[in-house]
Amino acid sequence: MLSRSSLPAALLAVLLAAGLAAQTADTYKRVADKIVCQCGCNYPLDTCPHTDCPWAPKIRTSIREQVAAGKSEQEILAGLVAQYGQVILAAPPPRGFNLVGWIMPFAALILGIWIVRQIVVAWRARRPMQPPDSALVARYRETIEKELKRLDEV
Amino acid sequence: MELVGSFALLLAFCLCAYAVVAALLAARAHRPLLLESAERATVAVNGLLLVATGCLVALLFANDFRIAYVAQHSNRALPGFYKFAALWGGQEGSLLWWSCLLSIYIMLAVRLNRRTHRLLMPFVIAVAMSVQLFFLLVNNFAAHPFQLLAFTEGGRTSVFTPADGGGLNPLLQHPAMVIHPPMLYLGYVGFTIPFAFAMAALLTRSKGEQWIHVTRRWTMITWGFLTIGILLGARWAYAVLGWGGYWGWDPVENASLMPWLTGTAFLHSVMMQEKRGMLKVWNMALVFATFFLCIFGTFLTRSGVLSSVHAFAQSPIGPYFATFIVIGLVASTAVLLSRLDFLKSENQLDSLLSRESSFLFNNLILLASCFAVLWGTLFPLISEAVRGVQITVAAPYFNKVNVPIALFLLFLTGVGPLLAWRRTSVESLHRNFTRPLLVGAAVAAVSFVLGVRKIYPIMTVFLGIFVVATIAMEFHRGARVLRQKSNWGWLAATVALTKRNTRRYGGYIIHFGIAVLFIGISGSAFSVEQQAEMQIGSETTVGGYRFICRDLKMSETENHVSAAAEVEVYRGGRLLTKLYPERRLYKASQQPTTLVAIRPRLQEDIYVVFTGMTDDGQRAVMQIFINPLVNWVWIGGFIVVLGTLIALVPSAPPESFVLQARARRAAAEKERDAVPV
Repeated sequence: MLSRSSLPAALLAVLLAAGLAAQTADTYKRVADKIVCQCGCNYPLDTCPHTDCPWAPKIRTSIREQVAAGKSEQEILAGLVAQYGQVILAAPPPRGFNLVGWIMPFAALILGIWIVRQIVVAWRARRPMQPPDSALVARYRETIEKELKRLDEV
Repeated sequence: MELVGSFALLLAFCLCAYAVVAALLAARAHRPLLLESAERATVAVNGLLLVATGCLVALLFANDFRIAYVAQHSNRALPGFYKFAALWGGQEGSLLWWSCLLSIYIMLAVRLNRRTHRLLMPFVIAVAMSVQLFFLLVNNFAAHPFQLLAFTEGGRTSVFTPADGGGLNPLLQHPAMVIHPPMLYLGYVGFTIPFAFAMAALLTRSKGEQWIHVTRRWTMITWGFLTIGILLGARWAYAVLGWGGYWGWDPVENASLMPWLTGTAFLHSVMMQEKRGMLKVWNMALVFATFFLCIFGTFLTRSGVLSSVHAFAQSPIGPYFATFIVIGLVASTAVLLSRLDFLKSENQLDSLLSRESSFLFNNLILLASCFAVLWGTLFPLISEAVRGVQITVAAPYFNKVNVPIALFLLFLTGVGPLLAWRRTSVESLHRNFTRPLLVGAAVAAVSFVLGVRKIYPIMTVFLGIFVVATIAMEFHRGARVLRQKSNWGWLAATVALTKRNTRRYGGYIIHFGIAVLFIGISGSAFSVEQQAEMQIGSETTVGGYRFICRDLKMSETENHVSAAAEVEVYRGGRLLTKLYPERRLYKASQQPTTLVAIRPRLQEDIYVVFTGMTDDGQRAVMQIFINPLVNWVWIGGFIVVLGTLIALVPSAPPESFVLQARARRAAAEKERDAVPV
C-alpha cells in the first residue's frame, strides 16, 4: 500500500505515464496519417482495407517502435522516406516541382475567375444598357395614372 | 453455348459497323429506307448483345470452367446471387455488360426520338453506334468473354477444364456490389446519348432548341444513375473495406466523380441556353467533357496506369481506350470549332447580380473542382514523367484542395436559385437571404457553443443550414400563394406546387439533399478510432461506449471459413446492442475479407471491424470507430435521388390544379348545402 506522503508523487507518475502514452499515440497517429500503404490500395497506412496486406503491419510496428524510442514525427517520416522514397507520403511535400501539384488547382481557379470576368465584361459590352428616356418614362407614367384614375371612377 | 455467344458478338460487331455506314449514307443521300435499316440494326445489335450476355450468365450458372472467364471469376460454391454479379466482376464480362447496356440505351434513344428528331437521327445513330463499335471491337478482339482455357504442348493445343474456379473476389461478395456496378455503368454508358445528340446537332447545324431538351432529359437520367452508383460505391466501401470511411479519393472513385461534376455543371448551364440562348459552345464542351471523362474513368479502371483499391479488373486494353479517347477528342473538337459561327450567344448579361452570373460561377466552381480531382489523380504520372520521382497523391491532398472549393459551391447552391434572371434587386436579396443567413449563423453558433471548434465543419453547418432555409422559404412562399387560391392544407399545397413545376422544385429537393449530404460529411472530422486486442470477457472503452467481448467462434461453409466475435456495447450501464464483426477466408481464392458490424444511428455509427487474431491466436484484434453523422450522407443521397426522379416527371399544367381546387370547393359547398338542416 502507498504511504500518504508518497501518494502525490505516485499520482504524478501515473498522470505523466498517461500523458506520455497519449503523446506517443498522437505521434503515431500523425505519422500514420501521412503514410500511404504500398500494397496497391492507395489508402492511408492505418486504413488499408486489405486484411492480408504484406506492407502495412510491418510499417505500423516500425513506427510504434520508433515512437517508443522517443523519435519525433519529422525524424520518423524522414527515415521512412529515406528508406522507401517519397511515394509513401500521402501528399507530396510542398517544395520543388511538387509545388506545381499544390498550386495548379488554385491557379486554374484564378484563371477561371479571370475568364469568367472577361466573359461578363464582353457580354455586358455586347449591347450596352441605354439610360431610359426620361420624357418617354414621364409620358408612360402619365398615361398609367390617367387610366388608373379612370378605372377608379368606374 | 460459348459458340452462340461468340457468334452473337461477332455478328453484333458487323451489324454495328453496318449501322454506322448506313446512317451516314442515309444522311448524305437523304434515303429514308436506309435510315430505317440503320434504326433496325440498332435493335438487332441490342438483341445479339442480350444473347451474348445471357450466354455468359448461363455459363457462369452452369459452372462451365472450360471458359477462362468463368474459371477466373466464379466457383461451384459461389451463391447464385453472386454468380450473376460475376458478370461484371472481371474485365471481359464487365465490358460485355457495358456493351449490352449501351445497346439498350441506343435502341431506346432511337425508338423514342426517331419521329420527333428526324434530321438529327442519322447522325445520332452514326455517333452512338461508333461508340458501340469501339466497345464491340474490344469485346471481340481484346477482351473476349468466351475464350477457352487452353494450353499448348508439343505444338498441340488442348482445352483445359479445372475442377473448380478461382471464385469471385471476396470484396465483391456483398449485396451492394450486385447493384453498384450496374448503376455506375448506367451512368457512364448513358452519357453516350447526350454526346451523340450534341454531335448530331453540330453536324446538322441544328438550333439549340431541337436537341437541348432531349439532351437535358437524358443527362438527367444518366446523372441520376451515376449519383446512385457513386453513393452505392461509397456505401459498399463503408460496409466492406473496413477502414471506417466511405470516400478514400482512390483514382477510380475520382474517375466516377469527375463526369458527375461536369454533368452537374451541364445540368445547370443548359438552363442558360434554354432560357436565354447563352453558353452554347460551353454546353457542347461540357457534354463532350462528360462523355470523355466517362471513357477516361474506364481507361483508368482497366489499364492499371494507377494503383487502386479497385484493381480487380485490369488487362492490357489501355492502348485501345487511349486511342479511342485521342481520336474522339480530336474529331469532336474539330467539329465544334468548325461550327463556332452558329453557336453564338443570343443575349447579353444585364447585371452581375443575376441568375446568369450565378450559373457562370457555379460552372466555374464545378469545373475547378473537377480539374483539382483530375490534376491530383494524374500528378503522380506527371511527376514521374518530369522528374522520374514516384510520388503519391491521396486523401490529405484532395481534402485540402477540394474542401474550400466545395464550401464555395455549397454557398452558391443556396444563393443561385433565388437570384432572378437578368437582374436581382437589393430588396430581393434582402428578402430572400436575410432570414436564411441568420438561421445558418444561429445553428453554427450553437454548434460552436456545443464544442465544435474546427473551421470547416462550422462553415459546412452554417452554409448547409443556410441552403436548407432558403429552400424551405421558397417552398413556403409558393405553397402560401397556392393556399390563397384554394382550400388546401400546407402539405397538399406543397405537393401541388412541386407537381406544377417538377423541374424547379425537384431541383430544390436535390439541393436540399446536397446540403444534408455535406452536413453528413462534416461529421467525419469528429470520428474517433481505436484498436483493441480482446479475448472473451475483456473490455475496452471508445468514445464513451464500453465494448465487452462475449464470444469468439469459428464457422465454415462451402464457400468460406470465418472467425466471428460477439461484442456487447454499453453506454453507462445500459446494454445498447450486440455486434458480430467477422473475418472470412474464401476457400477458392484463398483471400480474406472482413464483415464490418455497424450500429447505425442518426447521431453516430458504432463501427467494429474484426481485423484478425494476434500472433499467439489468443486475442481478436478489433478496430473500433465512432463515426458521427454518417447516416446523413446516405439520407442526403436518397433525397438527391428523390429530387432527380421528381425533376424527371413532366410538370402538370397549373390551370388544372386551380380548376380542380375550384371543382372540389364547389362540390364541398354543394354537399354542405344539400345536408338537411
